[in-house]
Formats: sequence, structure tokens, C-alpha cells
Amino acid sequence: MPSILIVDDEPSIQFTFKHIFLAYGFEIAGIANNGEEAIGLFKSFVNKPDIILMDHRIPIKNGLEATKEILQLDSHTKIIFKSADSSIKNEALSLGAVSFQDKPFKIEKMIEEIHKALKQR
Amino acid sequence: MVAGKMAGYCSKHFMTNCWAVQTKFIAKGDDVDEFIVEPSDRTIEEEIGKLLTTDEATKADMAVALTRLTKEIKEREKIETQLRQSEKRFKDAYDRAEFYKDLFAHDINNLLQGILSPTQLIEVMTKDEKLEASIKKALNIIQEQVDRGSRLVFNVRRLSQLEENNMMMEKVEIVSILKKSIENLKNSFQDKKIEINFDSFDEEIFILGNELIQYVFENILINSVMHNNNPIIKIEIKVSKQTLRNYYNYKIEFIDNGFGIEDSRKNLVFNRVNKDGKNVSGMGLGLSLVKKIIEIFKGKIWVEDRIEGDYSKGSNFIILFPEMI
Repeated sequence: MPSILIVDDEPSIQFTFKHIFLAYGFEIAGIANNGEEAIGLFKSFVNKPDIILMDHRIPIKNGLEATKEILQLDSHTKIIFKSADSSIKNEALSLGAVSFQDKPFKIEKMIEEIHKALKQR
Repeated sequence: MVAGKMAGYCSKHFMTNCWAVQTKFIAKGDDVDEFIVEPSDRTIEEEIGKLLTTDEATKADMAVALTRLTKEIKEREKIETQLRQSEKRFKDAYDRAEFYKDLFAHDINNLLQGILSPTQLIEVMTKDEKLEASIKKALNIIQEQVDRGSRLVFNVRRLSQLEENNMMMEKVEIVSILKKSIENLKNSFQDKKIEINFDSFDEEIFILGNELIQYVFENILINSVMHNNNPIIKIEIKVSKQTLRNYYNYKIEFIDNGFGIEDSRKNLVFNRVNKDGKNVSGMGLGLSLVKKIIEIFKGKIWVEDRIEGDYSKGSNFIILFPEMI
């Protein structure tokens, strides 16, 4: 069962995404409220999550900073950005994110992107 | 010095440069020093230059010029200070506007995601068969509102970019983009019966524009569907070539069987805000953005009745683009 780490500082998003992904058959590896927590959680995982769902404007360390550090730890990590700030799209993709979803997006689109990312080797 | 003050007084009074010219000289044996003060279009630099190159410049002439020069330097310093302050105020206002625009766009989209996700969670959790038709309808309405909000944010961003930037223009082939727009429209409205008839005088037509042309076509097509209650939505797209005062133009017509637009609103639909600063309800920001893009591409757009004189039978949105030379 593919696992997802959700990185978002908005509790309503954390709640709804968690339950939607569970309903779609994914496992929730963890939920991080900010970039630093995401890096800490990532380091602590014995089994790394298959997908990281990354927001950008989050406290302490933003999504781009967290992505950079996580990819330095493991360059094979599949990070999907979901952000309302489309101005960072190119930067996120050039850092190594596999996909960028502009908020708001329909969950079916996100599921499709997750499956696409999982197929990538 | 008196002559200098008179020159200064005259300059202020007549709002133009005035210079004192000495006509009698005690030093040369005249009984008095005499000056004539008169308006002149010579600048302080020219006047001093003239005095420096003539043998006739007296101390009095130089005193007049230097008094004027001192005054002018002070005035310039004052204007430069005001200009710097004005530039700073402008930059502060611009930065504030950018900040609020960014804040608005980001936070509204986040908020829309916050509305959209729970509706989708309800859908997933209850599964389709358990959903009462009315709940399903309510969820659809919420999701449609989110789509509208999202489009509004996109349009505001685009409009703002258009006003700020000089857009890159390139050679664009519009027949393939029209076909792609038709395909996208049908995918977006799978629950509606849409018949589209496409007729172009040529397979490939090039204009000077950019990728925003697809936004233009899709926006007009979406309006034709959204402002239409017929069981079968009919849209006819005709592309032709015509001459206007020895220039060739490409004419693209989007003819629909929708609600139509009353004559009094035909121009207003392209303006988000009218002259009184009031919002024009109806088609929103989309068509004003469409018009702006077309004008940047040196084209024109207007709307006519599908059947002349009876607006209620549908509209014909007409775009003219100049032929690419």
C-alpha cells in the first residue's frame, strides 16, 4: 500500500486529505505542520514514504527549502507540490519535485498525479 | 543687486526667465548704471556662458547671473527632493498593491481548496449510491462555485500581468488552437449536449499573438455554453478572410443559440467596470480579459445578434485579427 507524507499547516486540509487518501487506499506515513517538521519526520522514517505532498507557504522552513533538504537526503523521493502560489512552480520542478498542482484542485487530479509519480522509477 | 532682484521679480511675475542687461556704465563715464529687465527664453546656463565670453560683462552682470543661478539651484534641489519623495510614495503604493494582490490570490485559492476538499471527502465517504440526489446536487453547486472562484483568481492574475508586462508575441497557428479549444470545451461539459460546427477557409492560419489566444477562444466558447438553456447547445465557428481598406483580416465568428445579449448590454459585456465604477454583472471578468488580450494582438472583438434584430435567438461574437505579413 503506497504511503503519503502530508505537509500542510492548515488543519482542515490535513484532516480532509488524510481521510480522502485513506478512502482511496493509501497509507498516511505522517502529517507535518511545517518544513522543518517534514524534514525531521522524513529522517525518522525507517521506511520512507512513497510520496510527499508538499505545501509551500508553511512556517519555519517553506516547501522549497524542505524539498531541497529532503532531496539532498534521498534524491529518489517523489515530492508533489500543492500550492496556491503558482509563482514558485518552475523553481519547485527544477529542484526535483515530480509534479506541481495549483490550489484549488480536484482530488481526482491529485490521485492521478500520485499514480503517475508512483509509476516513475 | 537691485537689477538682479528686479529680474527675479519679473521671472516670478511673468513665469518665464527674465534677464537684466546693463545699458549704461559709470565705469565707462556714464552718469549712471542703467539696466533693462526683459523676458527671455535663454536659460541660466546660456546667460552665464554669454557673460563669460563677452568682454562687456561687469561685476553687476555677474552678480545678477549668480543670484539667479543660486535661486535656480535651490529650486532644482527642491524639485528633486519632491521627485524623490513622490517616487518613494509611488513605489510604496506599488509594493502594497502587489502584496495585497498576492495575498488575495494565495489565500482565496487556499480557502477554495478548504471548501472543495470536504465536499469531495463527503462524496468519497458516503459513496455515490448512498448520496441523496439533493445532497449530491448541493455538493455539485459548491464545487461549481469553487471553479468559479478559481477562474476569478486566474483572471485577476492574468489581467494584472497584462497591465504590467510587455507581452512576448510570436507566430501562432489558430486553426489547431480552435480545434483544441473545442475538444477542451466538450471535455469540460460532458453532461451537456453540445453540437459544434467548425468551418474554416484554410487549414492553417497564422496570426501574431501568443498562447493566450487559447484562453480567448475557450472563454468565448464557455460563455456560449453557460449562457444557454437549450437541450442542445449549438455553436457554429466560422473562419473567413476579408479585406478592409486594402488590408486583409481574419474574421472568426462564434455563433450560438444561447440567451443572447440585449443591445444596451452589447458593449458593456466587455467591460468589467463601467464608467460609473459599478460592476457590470453577467459575464464577469472573462470577456474584459478577452478584449484586452485581443487588443494587444492588434485585433478587435464585438458582439452581434445571431439573427439581426432579435437578440433572444443567440449571439455572434466576432473577432478580427490582422493578417500576419
